[in-house]
Amino acid sequence: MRVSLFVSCLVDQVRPEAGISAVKVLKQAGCDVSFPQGQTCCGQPAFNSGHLPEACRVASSFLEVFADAEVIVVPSGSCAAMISHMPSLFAEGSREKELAEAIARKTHEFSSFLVNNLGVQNLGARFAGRVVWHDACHALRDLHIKSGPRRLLAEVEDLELVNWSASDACCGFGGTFAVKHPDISVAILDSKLKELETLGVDAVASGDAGCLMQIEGRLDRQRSSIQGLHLAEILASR
Amino acid sequence: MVEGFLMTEARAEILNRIRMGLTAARAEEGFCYPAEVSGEQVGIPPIPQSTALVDIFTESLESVGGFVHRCGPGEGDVAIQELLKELQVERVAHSGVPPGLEELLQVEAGVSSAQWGIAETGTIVLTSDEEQSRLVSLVPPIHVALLREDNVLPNLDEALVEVYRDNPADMSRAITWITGPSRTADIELTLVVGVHGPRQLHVILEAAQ
Amino acid sequence: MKAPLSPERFESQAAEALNDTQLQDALQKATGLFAEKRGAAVDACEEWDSLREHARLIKEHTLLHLDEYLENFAAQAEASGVQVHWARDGEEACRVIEDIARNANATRLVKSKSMTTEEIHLNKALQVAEIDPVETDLGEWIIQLAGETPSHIIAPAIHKSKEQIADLFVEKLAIEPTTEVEELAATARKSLRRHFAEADLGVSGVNFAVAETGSILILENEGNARMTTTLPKIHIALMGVEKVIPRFADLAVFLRLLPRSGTGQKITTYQSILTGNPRPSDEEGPNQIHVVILDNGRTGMLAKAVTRQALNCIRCGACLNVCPVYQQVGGHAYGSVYPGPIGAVITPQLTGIEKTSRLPFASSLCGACRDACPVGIDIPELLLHLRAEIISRQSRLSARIAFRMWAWAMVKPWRYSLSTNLARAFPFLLPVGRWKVNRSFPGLAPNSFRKWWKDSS
Repeated sequence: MRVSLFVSCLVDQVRPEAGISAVKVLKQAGCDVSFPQGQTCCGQPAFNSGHLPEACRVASSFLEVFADAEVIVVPSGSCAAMISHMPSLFAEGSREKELAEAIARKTHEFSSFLVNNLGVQNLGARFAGRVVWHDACHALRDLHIKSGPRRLLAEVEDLELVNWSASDACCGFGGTFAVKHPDISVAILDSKLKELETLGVDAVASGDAGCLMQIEGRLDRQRSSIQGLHLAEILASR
Repeated sequence: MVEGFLMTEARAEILNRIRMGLTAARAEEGFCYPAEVSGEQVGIPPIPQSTALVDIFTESLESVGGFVHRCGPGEGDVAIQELLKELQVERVAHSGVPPGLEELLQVEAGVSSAQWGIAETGTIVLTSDEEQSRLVSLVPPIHVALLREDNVLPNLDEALVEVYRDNPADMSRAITWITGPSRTADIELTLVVGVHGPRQLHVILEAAQ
Repeated sequence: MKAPLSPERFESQAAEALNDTQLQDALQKATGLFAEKRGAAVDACEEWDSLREHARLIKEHTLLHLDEYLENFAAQAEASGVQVHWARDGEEACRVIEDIARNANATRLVKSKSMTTEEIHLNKALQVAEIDPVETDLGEWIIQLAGETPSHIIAPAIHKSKEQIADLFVEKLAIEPTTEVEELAATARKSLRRHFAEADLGVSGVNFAVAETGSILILENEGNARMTTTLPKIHIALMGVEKVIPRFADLAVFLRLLPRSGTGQKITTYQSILTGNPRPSDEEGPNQIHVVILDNGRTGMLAKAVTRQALNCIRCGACLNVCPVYQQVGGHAYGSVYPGPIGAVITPQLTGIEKTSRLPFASSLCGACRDACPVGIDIPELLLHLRAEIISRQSRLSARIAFRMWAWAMVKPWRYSLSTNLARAFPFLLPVGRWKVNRSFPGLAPNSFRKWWKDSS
């Protein structure tokens, strides 16, 4: 299958290893992966902050870049959700709206693509450690991604998936919210992380680089040895 | 007069605002009317056989701290007397003989009938047409209600049908649904019963003839 | 003296809440327990999803025929002897209620819990008119004694500990010191009975108003609303225009949704279904019933589907309990009568965005509120809509320039590469100061993904 990868601006600039791992995993699963060079951002930061004209401009440019893609895979639930909202940015009957609708239909979040479109479960990954899963809010509540990533992790050799009662609680990131309200953002995170140290885990895994930056940033500030990992990074380890 | 005029003016203006809003709403891109539905159409739990209704009613009411006492046909009044004795209650008010407020504040228990019971929730229904005083079910610390088993309905839907009586003009002016003792959790979410109403609710379930 | 709460000071009020350890404990306990009970009640209800969808459809249908249903309701209520009043705004509603009291020479007034009366600041208006309102819901009464405002839609005093309440009762009511919750509740029972017995007038809210029959319904657990609507000779019920539902049978859906969403109960302890003035043969009840129908900004939400959905709200409070922001900062931080996610979307619409523009930004957009809402309100969608409206009308120049520049950089890959490489070379250019207050920032990676792709292909 020919797959166009939209890595997201955050993965591109802050966490390239998540994108690199996603490429490896997709190739392993038999995909022909391409990276449309014109891509930048989906426009979500502006969309969520209420700056719609700017969000529209960036979204239009995204749509042009991916207009001819067969399938688009995004290693981020949040960006995938944004792409599903894109049609609402454009006027009824406009060419852009039609394009946005077509693109929304062929866009898939990374774990969901592996499980639901390719039907893969075991990719021969090996990762020694105890891991909890963090459900990113947009993946969980907009895209209803819940069991897929857990099934993928359960198949990883030597990985122990630890049950975490706070796995579906918001991490407080929320894009610009994290810098607009840093104290509330971290209070939300601390309440989520309350039990984490008692679970004796090595890593928090998630499908969104934004959440990981938030969680890792706090754990690092607290000198915790627990690391954050993108699902793709675990699935690519041997 | 001025007041009356203002009132009509307010009414006209609010209705006008609504109509203007709705005109705009209908002109909105992608507007369509939603499917018309009624609460009656919701898939409600299967209705069990009447023998089981009494058990469901009992379980539901007990789960919220109410007491259910069953007795044979025609034995309701005796059962009430026995219960009041057991509870060591001497001063009692009856819904059929509306007490004054002062008396109501003094009595230890209020006794009424209940026109219907609702198995789904353990609710009893009192209507102003039948119970001259509903305050006896509220002000004293204990409320004892007599309910006939054949008046236990399966669910809220059927209870609404019964109290509705096909014509709003015929409806009782005040219909009170009661499910368990008065309760509050307003302080630290600690459950306390009997905050304004009764601490105890006893339902005497009298078997049908 | 502390400044009064205001939505304009969300940030400082939130900061204060985060530093209040007693409040933090209370919030965690309350929201946790409410959310847990709601979850259990919903899980035990097989029909939940179909009930929600039905409720949403009934509400949407009603709102699209709101003029007809309100007129039906008013006509039915009037036919059964109720006096119906209309109020365009809060001030007018207060004046209607004052006039009713004045005409009856009523000075002693008891109230049952009603967020709508909070919204119109009825107590303040009544006091100016020398009418003495006494709140009778335990939580509301505590708040009134303390001179505060509710911090939760259904549990107004959850921010207070029993010790604080005990101190308040000792000070205001001269009771013996105690921290037994039972005793505190007994104090309320005893003190408030006197008020009930003496009141000339009872004011309540309305949970549902049935167009078909002219009935109003009031749901409660304590019994104070039954007292309020039965003992005084005059009963005034205040309702927003959105409280009307078409048919009596529609109640089956809402009576199942509201208690489960609010407290996790299958049904509240008391439902009072009041249809018209008592008949001459009725021994109990008021001899005058008034219903005041309030607009106060609601009709302005009808025009757009995205805003209209906020009128579905049945004030259950479920969205507050599951909201990560509310869980941390509580109700007072919002500085508005309606707090939490639903407050953040209805307050700007009811009172205008000028002073409330911070509220729609007080959310991480996690979507838990949308999942919990029993009437299908897409609160995140509405938050985004309001954010866009606020930005288009009053954004700071600096923010506008920042997003313009950002968009400029994002629409062309060369500009994107230029600016990210610039930030890589001069990391101080990245606006992450507020991030680094309490979190480490990883910085931009030495090599971007696109560089890796280019190098490896």
